[in-house]
Amino acid sequence: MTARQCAVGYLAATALAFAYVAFHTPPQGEDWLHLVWGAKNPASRFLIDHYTATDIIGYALAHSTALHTIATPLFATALVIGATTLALRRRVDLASWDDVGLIIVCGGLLWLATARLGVAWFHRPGAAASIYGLAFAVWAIAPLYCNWRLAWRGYALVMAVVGFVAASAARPVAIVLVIYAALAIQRSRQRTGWMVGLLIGLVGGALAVFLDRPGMDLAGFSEQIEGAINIGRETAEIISLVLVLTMARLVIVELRPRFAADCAPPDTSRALWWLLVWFVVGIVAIISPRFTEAGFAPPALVMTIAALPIFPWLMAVRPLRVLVLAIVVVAQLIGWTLSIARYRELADEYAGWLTAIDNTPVGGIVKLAPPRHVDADFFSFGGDWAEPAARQNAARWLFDRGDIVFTAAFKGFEASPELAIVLETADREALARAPARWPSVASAARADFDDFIDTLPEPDRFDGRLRVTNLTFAALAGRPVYVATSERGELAWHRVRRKRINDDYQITLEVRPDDLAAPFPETHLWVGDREVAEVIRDGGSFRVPLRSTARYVLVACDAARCFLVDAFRRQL
Amino acid sequence: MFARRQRAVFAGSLIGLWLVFVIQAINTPVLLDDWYQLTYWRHHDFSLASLWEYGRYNYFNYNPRIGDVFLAMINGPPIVHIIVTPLVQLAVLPITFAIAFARWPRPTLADLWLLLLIQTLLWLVIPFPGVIYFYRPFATNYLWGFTITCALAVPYRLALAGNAAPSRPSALWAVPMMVLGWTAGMCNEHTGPAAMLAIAIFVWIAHRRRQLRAWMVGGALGLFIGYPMLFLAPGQSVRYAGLAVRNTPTVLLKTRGLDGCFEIVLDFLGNATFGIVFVAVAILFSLRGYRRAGERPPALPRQAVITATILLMTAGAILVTLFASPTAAERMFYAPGVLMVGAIVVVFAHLLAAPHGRRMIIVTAAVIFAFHVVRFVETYWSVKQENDDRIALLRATPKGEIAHVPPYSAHKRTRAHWGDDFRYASLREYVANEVFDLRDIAITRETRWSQPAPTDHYIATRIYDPPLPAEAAAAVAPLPYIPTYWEWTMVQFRRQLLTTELGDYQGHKLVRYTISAVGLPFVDPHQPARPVLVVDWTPRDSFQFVDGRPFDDKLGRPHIQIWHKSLPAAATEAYALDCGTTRPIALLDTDENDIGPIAPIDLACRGVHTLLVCEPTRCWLAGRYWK
Repeated sequence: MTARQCAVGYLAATALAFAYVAFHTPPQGEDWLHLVWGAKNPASRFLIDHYTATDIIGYALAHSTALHTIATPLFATALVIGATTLALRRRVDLASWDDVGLIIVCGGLLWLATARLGVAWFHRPGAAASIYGLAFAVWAIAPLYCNWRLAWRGYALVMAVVGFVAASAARPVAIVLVIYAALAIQRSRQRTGWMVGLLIGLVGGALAVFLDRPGMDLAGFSEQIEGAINIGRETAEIISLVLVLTMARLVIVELRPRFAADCAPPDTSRALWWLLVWFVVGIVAIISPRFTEAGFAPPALVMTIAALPIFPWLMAVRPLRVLVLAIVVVAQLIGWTLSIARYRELADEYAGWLTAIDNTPVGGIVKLAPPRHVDADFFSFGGDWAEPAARQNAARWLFDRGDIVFTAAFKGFEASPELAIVLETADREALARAPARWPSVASAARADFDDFIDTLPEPDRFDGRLRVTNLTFAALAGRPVYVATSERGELAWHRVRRKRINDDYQITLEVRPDDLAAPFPETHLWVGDREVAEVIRDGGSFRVPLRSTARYVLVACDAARCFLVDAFRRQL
Repeated sequence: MFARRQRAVFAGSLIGLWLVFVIQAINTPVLLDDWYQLTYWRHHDFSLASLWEYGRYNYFNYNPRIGDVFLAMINGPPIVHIIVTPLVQLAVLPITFAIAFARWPRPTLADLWLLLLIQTLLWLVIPFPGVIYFYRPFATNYLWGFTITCALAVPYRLALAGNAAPSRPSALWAVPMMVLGWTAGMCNEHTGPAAMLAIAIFVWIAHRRRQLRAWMVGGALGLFIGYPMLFLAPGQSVRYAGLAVRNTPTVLLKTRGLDGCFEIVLDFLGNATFGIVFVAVAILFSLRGYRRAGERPPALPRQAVITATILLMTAGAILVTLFASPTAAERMFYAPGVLMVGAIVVVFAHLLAAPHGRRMIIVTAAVIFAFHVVRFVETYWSVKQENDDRIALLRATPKGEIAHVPPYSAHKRTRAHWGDDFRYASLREYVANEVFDLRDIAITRETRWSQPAPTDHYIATRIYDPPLPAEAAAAVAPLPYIPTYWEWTMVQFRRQLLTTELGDYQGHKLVRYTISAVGLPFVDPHQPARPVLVVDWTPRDSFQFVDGRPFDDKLGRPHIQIWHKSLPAAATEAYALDCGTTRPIALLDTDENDIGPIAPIDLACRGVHTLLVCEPTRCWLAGRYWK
C-alpha cells in the first residue's frame, strides 16, 4: 500500500462514517428555529435575518439532510487537512508516510480534544460553526501562514468570501483571525490583492458576528473568572498527552538508544503563539452568549495545531510511533462506532416521533414519548423540545398540529402554561388574516403577533391586542389581560426576557424596554390558583421566587388593564 | 549574589511564607467537620489522654484515619493550630524537594527558586488548593497525611542516593522510624498501597546493595502494620452506616467500569490543567531561548529522567488505587498532585540551570504565587469575620430557640474556600444542639443551595430486660435531642452505647432501641395508624433500617432508590409524602444499576420529600429527597 492509498482510504472511511452519522442526525435545538423561520417568512427576508455564516449555513443544513450528509463530511475532511497544513506550515504531501501519519494523528487528536464532539460536529447548528466555520478559518489563514503565493487576481474575491465566512462563524475565531491577518499583512513585504480581500472579508465577518444578537456577557465572566479552568479541563488533555509521550521518549532513548532514529528536534517555534491563541479563543468562547462546552471546538482545534509539529519527533522512536498510532486509531474507532450507534438510535427515535405526529389529526395535540438521552453528553445534543414555545412553534408551523406534549416529564422540561389567547381588533381585514388559534405560550404568541403584523398590508396603521381569556382571578377585577398590543403598528409588551434562576431560587423577568412597565404600577403573581405577594419589582424587572411546579402567572396592571409579564410551569 | 545574602533572602522568604500560613491559621473559620471536634472538646479537657480516647473510639467506631486525631488536636486550643499547621504546611516544601532531588534544599537562590516552583505548582496542580491548605479537616487528613508519608520516604531516598549523613546510624532509629511508618500507614487508604510498594522497593534495593539498616526495616515494618490496621479498622465497617462494606473494591470497579476509571484520570488532569499549561509554556520558552541563541538544548540527565518517571508512575499508582475507592473525590488528588509536582521540578531544575527562559519561569511563578497568597489571605480575612459574626449570633441566641443566621456572602465553593457549611440541614441541627444548645439553626434567606429542614422529628424508645418503666428507661443516659437524620441517630446511639450506661443500667440490659419519626404529614390508610420507624436496634440483629438515597433516572426524574438488602421482606406498600400529601406509589425496578428498586418523587414544591415503606404493622422511613 502506498501512502497516498492509505491517506485516501483513511479520509474516505472517516468521511463515510461522518456521512452515515450526518444522515441519521435529526433536527434538534436551533434547527427548529431555522425550520420555523422558513415556514413563517418569505425568502425575500432571508438576508435581513441571516447575515452570519453560522446562521446561513445552519439554515441550509436544517433544511437539507442531503447537504448535511454530503457537504459536512467533505468540509470535515478539509478541516483535518487544513489543520495539518497549518501544523506543517506547508502543503500536505499525500505521498509522504510522515504527512499521512500526521493527518491520522490530527483526526485522533481532534477526537481527544474536542469537548462534546458530537454536538460540535454532527448536530447541524454545531457543524455550521465548528466544521464549516473552522474549515473556512484554517483555509483562510493558510495562505498567509504558509507564505503561499496566490497569483490569480480572482483570489481577492475568493479570499474575501472565505474570510467573511470564517470570521462570521464564531466570535472567538473572528477576533484571532482579524488580528492575525492584520499583523501578518502588515509585516508582509508583498501586499497583494488577495491579502486585502481577505482582510476586508475578515473584518466584515467579524462585524457581522459581533453585531448579531445576543451580545457578549461580560458581567457573568467577571464573577466566574476561575471557571476559565474549564478551557483547560476540556481542551488541554493534549498537553498532558504530549508531555507524557515526551517523558516516555526520553526514558526510551535513555534506556534503549537503538530505538531512537535520527530526527531533528521538534519544531516548537510557533507553539507558544498557538498556546496564546488557544487561551484567547477559549476565554472569548466562555464569555460568548449561549456558551456550551461544544463552544470549545475552536480552542481544541488550536491546541491540536499547536501539538501536531511535536509528533514527528515523538514518532521517530519506534515504540512511541506504534503507541501514538494505536491511541489515535483506537480513539477514532471507538468514537465513530459509538457515534454511529447513538445516531442510529436518535434517528429511530425521531422517526417514531414523526409517526406519532402523522397519526395525530391536523390541529390535534401530539403525544410523544420523552427523549431517551436527556443529558447533553460527548456524543449528542440531549433532550430536545424541552421548552413549550419550541414544541408549539414546531407543532403549529411545521406539522400543522395544535401542540406537542410528552407523556412524561424529563430534566429541563417545561410544561405549557396553557393560556387561551385571542386577537382583539376592530380591523376586520386583519382579523380575517389572523391565525385561527394563537399559541398558548406568551413568548410564542408575541413572536407570532409580531410576524402577523408584518404580513398586513398596512402594518403601521394596525391597532390590535392579544388578550388572555382564561385568567379569572378576583384581583383582576374584570380588567383585561394582554400579552401584547399594537397601537398604530407600534408594538408594546412584546419582549420579555427570562434570566437564569439565581441563588435565592428566584427567576428574573425583564420587560424591554423597561420604561414600558412604568405606567403599570400594580403587580400580581398567582401560583396555581393562589395569589402570592412575593414579587420583587424594580422598574421593568420582576424577581419571582420559585417554590412550586404549579402555573405561575405574573401580570402588571394599571386601573384599566393588565399586561401579562409571563406565565410558565417550570420544574424545580 | 554573596552566599550570606543568598542565605538571608532564602531565610527571609521562608519566614515570609511561614507568616502567611500563620495568618491563614489565625483566620481559619470553624467549618463543617470542625464542629464535630468542637463538640468533643466541649465535653473533654484537652489532654493526651483525651486525644487517645478520641482516636481509640474513632478507630473502632468511626473514622479510623489518624488525620482525624490530628484534626481533633488542632481544633483544641487555637494556639496548637497556629503553631503546628503552618509548620506542617511549610514542611511540604523541603520534603517534596528531598523526594525530587535526593537532598535537602540549601540556602541558595537556586534552591529557593525550586522551592518557589514547588509551592506555586502545588497550588496550580491540586484541586481547590485553598480548601486543602486552610480547611482544617482536609488539611489534616490529606496535606498532613501525605506529608508524613513523604517524610517517611525521605530517609530512604537520601540513603539510597548516598546523601544520608551517617552510614551506620544507631539501631535506635528503628523505633521512631517504625512509629513514623505506622503513622504514615494510618493516614490514607488511597496512598498506602503506593507508599508500601515504594518503601518495599527501597528496602529491596538497599538489601541488594548491602545497605540495609535497622531503621529501614523499622520504617517499613511500621508502614506494613499501619496500613492494614487502617484498611481493616472496625470503624470502616460501621462508618457511613456500613457504606464501605457494601461498596467493596470489586463492586466499585465493576460499577465504575473502564469509563469511570478513565474519568478519574481525566478529572485529575483537568484539575491540574493550569500547572500542566505552565509547564508546557515554560519548556517552550526555554526552547525558544536556545533557538534564539543558536544552541541545541542539552539532553535531560539520565538521573532526572528516571526520577521524574518514577514520581509520575507513583502518582499514577495512587490514581489507580482510587479506581477501587468508594470516594474518588478531588481532595484525594492532593497526593498524586504532590508527586507530579516533584516530577515537574526535576525537569524545571534542568531548565533553570540554563539562562534561557529562567527569568520568565521564575517571574511567572512568583506572580502566580503572589496571586494565590493575596487571594487566600483576602478570602479568609472576610470569611473569618463572617464566621465570627455567625458564632456570636449563635451564642447570643437563647438556649432552646431557633437561631436565624444569614448565609455567608462567599457561599459557593471556590478554589480558595469551601463555602457555606450550613447548606446541610443535618449540620445546622447538629451545631445548634450539640455546640450551642439551641433547637435548630435556620438560614435567614431561602436559598437554592441550602437544604431545607424536615418538618418531622425523631423520638427514641428503649426497652430493657428486666423491664424498666418508659420514663425510667428514657432517663438512662438522657439525650438532649435525636438527630433527624438516620445516619446521625446511629452515630449518636453507638456513641452512647459505648460511653454511657445506656446498654447496661444497673443490671437492666438494653434489648431494643427504636427511633421513630413523628410529625410526618402521613395519612395512613390503615387504622390504627402505623408507627413510622427510622432505625431499630437489637443486640442480636444490630441495626435495621431502610437504606434509601436520592437517585435521578436517565430522564433526570427524581427518585429514591432503596438498597435491596435493606428493604423489609414483609413490605406491602409504599407512600411518597410530597408537599403535604400522602401518595401511594409502587416501587419500580430499574435497569440502570443493581442497587435496588426506585420510588418516583413528585417535586411539585420545594422542601423535603419523604418515602415510606410499610409492613402490615409498621412503616419505615425509607429515604428523603430535597429541593
